[in-house]
Amino acid sequence: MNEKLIKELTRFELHTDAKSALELLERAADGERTVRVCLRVLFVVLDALVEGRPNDSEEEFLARRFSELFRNSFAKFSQDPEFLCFCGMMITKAEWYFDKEFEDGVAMMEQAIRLSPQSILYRAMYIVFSDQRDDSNTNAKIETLTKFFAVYPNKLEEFGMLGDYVVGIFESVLEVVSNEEFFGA
Amino acid sequence: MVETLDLNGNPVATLGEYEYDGDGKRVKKHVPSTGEVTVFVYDAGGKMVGEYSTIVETQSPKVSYTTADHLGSPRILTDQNGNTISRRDFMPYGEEIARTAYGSDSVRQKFTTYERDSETSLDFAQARYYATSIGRFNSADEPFLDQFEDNPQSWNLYLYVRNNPLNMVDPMGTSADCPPGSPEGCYERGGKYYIKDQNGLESEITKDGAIRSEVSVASGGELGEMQIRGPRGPRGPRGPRSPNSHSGLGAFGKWLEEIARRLGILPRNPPRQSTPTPSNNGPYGPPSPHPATSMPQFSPSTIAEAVEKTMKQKGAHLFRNKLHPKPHLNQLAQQVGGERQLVEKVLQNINGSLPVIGKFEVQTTVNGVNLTVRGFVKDGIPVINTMF
Repeated sequence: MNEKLIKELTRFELHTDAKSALELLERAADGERTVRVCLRVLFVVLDALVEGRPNDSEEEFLARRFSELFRNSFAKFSQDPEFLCFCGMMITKAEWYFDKEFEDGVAMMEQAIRLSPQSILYRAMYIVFSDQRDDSNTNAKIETLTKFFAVYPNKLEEFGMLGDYVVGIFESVLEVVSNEEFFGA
Repeated sequence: MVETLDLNGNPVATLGEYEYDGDGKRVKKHVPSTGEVTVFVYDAGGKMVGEYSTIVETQSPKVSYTTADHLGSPRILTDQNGNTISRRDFMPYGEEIARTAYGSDSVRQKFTTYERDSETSLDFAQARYYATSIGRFNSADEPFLDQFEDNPQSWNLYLYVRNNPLNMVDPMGTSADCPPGSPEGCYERGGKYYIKDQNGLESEITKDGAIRSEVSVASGGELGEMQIRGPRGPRGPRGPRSPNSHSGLGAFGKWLEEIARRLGILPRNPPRQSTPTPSNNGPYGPPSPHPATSMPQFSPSTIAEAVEKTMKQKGAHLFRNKLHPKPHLNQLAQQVGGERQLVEKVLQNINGSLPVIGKFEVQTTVNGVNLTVRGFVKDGIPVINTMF
């Protein structure tokens, strides 16, 4: 993988610079447009759309480019469990930018588990994002997330901001559901 | 006991016998013509939670859902698959329009959820009985509790919601009230709806849901100052009290102020006139963080569904996002009793400001904290996607 490209992408992630991330992906060679790079760029753009403050024209531009990138990536990686699982999670965050339903996102995470049944990451993402209420599947969440942190000590660093986002939610969910389970907080 | 009388006033037949508890709540009903005895059960808060009858319909149990209109009247009954079982329409004062093609059901809640007693054709409105056929209660309201000098419609003690049945309800039979699902804090006075913001400033909600004017209550204690600011205008800082501050409410304002002084709510001697404070924010001050306040578009049951959907589909994204931590959201959630309650409060606040379908971004205030709320409305249910 191109180290320079990853460094640049990480810098754009730090500044949530969605436009530069999109341009970077356009400039990248075919071989550099891996599943992970596509996912990371998708997430930078999605984060800018959902949590950022784009004006109307910026939002229109980003939403259009995001949709194109998702369609192209999906056509290329629709059988890749990593792509399916992370995209499924992103769909649960803001489904309308994907022109999908929340349930489509859940179905994609389920498909990822079917394709890679041993992955504790995919199980953890499915259990956390398919029903995000703290009082649902509490035991399964505790068990799966505890396993996840044992198996992934690097906390998805290789996924950049996307990994930080997922792990941050995992940590927070584990903390809350553990408190509720053991202390009834 | 409800009886029919002959021309001499002698009882001919008993239509129904009713028993009430010490709080005036109807706890038992006996219909001699059918022999049916119904017992009503209330929870500690006085809300009816169950009915037990000696006559039970012979039908297989099934799940069904009612869909209510803006007044709370159940209008459509659907089964678990969303198929319509029955529908009903009401005249403005609650008379049901008979339509055979609409299907039938045994739902007893009718106009604005009043339970209709078939034996008398009266609606049970807790404190009184309401006759939809004449649009009047069959007994007088307690005087001076819901009467207003400036609203003659409130003077007749038999009137139903001051002859404004399309916009108001009277669930307890005691006072005209905002319809269910109105913005939290909505209250009725003199036939109009009002809400107060966090500063105690009062805004009137017009029938079409817009804020037409704002009646300001001065912090110094003056009552009766009125400022007309055009439709949905932004709120600015309060100006000083003008020498003729009663010009808006006229004699009623003076009367109200005098009453308030006699009750000790206001100081005996009016405060001295102060000098206007210059402001760089234009005539109305900084833009209000409030969205345009309007009448609710979603029923309480839809809001409940929206809360559940938001928590299930967006709960982690909303409240567990460490990438964009929002400590003020967590603090607010603690203040209002939890994250679910915060979502509910926000949805209630923005109810009336959302599109029928599609994305939205609105602003609201909870406990004095300004929030930007983003989400979408789909299938008639709003879902919050993010708040900051």
